[in-house]
Amino acid sequence: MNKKLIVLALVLLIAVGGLFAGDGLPGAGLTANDGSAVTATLKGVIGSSFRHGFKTGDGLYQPTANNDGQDAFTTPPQLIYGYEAKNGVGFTSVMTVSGFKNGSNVVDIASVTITVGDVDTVKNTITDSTEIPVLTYTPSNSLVAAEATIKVTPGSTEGKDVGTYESELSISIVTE
Amino acid sequence: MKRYVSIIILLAMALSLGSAPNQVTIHLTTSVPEVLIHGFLKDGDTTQIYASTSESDAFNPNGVQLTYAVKTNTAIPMTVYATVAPFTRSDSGDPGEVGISDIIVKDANGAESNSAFDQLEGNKREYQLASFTPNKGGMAVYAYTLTVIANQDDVENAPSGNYSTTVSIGITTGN
Repeated sequence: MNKKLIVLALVLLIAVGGLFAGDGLPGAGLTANDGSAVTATLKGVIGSSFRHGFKTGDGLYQPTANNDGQDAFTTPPQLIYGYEAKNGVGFTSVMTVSGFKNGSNVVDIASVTITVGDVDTVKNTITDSTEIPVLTYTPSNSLVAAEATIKVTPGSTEGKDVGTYESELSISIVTE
Repeated sequence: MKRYVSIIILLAMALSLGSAPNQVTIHLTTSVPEVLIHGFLKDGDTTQIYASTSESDAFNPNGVQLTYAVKTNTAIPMTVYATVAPFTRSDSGDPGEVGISDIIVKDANGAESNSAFDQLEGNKREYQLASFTPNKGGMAVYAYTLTVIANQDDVENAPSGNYSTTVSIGITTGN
């Protein structure tokens, strides 16, 4: 009986005491991520780069060009060809040039002069299918630009019909 | 005898409870914890601060932008710094590296500044992005626009491929 009373008293004391007990004050100090490092991942892509063509007045390489307005038989036409490349594969740009044609009349090409820097390379025996190297490219991690001046000198027009003559110069890329 | 003593104790307790005053007073004391959250804002949302972010087109000549924010209710002086290594090529092939040209910090008032940096080991740099003392009173967000610009000469001359780097931003508090 005594023990029961003592237990009852303890229970009452604990219960009454519990009324005045709090959860405790929250502690001070920084919370959340507290300034620990945060990270940003930045991604970028460097792609291969290549373009070539004929240089125009505004300095861009265009896929087509012409010398309309000039008489090629009086003043041999000159074109500036170039490329910009950053590539893992080397190449050579190769040109072909047809004779000046007007129906069945053809004025052959007397010569093609390719100037790179101060060096002239002259090709004298030319047919429509003659492949003439213009510029070469060695694989590089840098963006490389190169230019060549191409001068096409027509042959004799003696005995040819009067009329408009056209020649087509084409440059293609041959990879290594 | 003991039985009577116990009964008297219980009666005394009951009487003491019953004789309590009608009005009681309790003093409640608490404190507002100091909060410091920092990270990145995304998509113009200023409510959520992320501990990490990922951005592409980092080789854009205009740079890549990050919105960095500190949310705090303290008035402790803070310095924000960023540690970053050059971009490295993450795919196979010739190893390549693209350095960081600048980190430009723009604050909420539109003031821009190029961050000074200390050179660390391994080509890493530690940029000091901002130093400020929160002054808005209470919880507030302090946001900055970071523009990370890759070295364009390196971009031009590095091997083609995929590159990445990690900008790690930390805060030191106090003077």
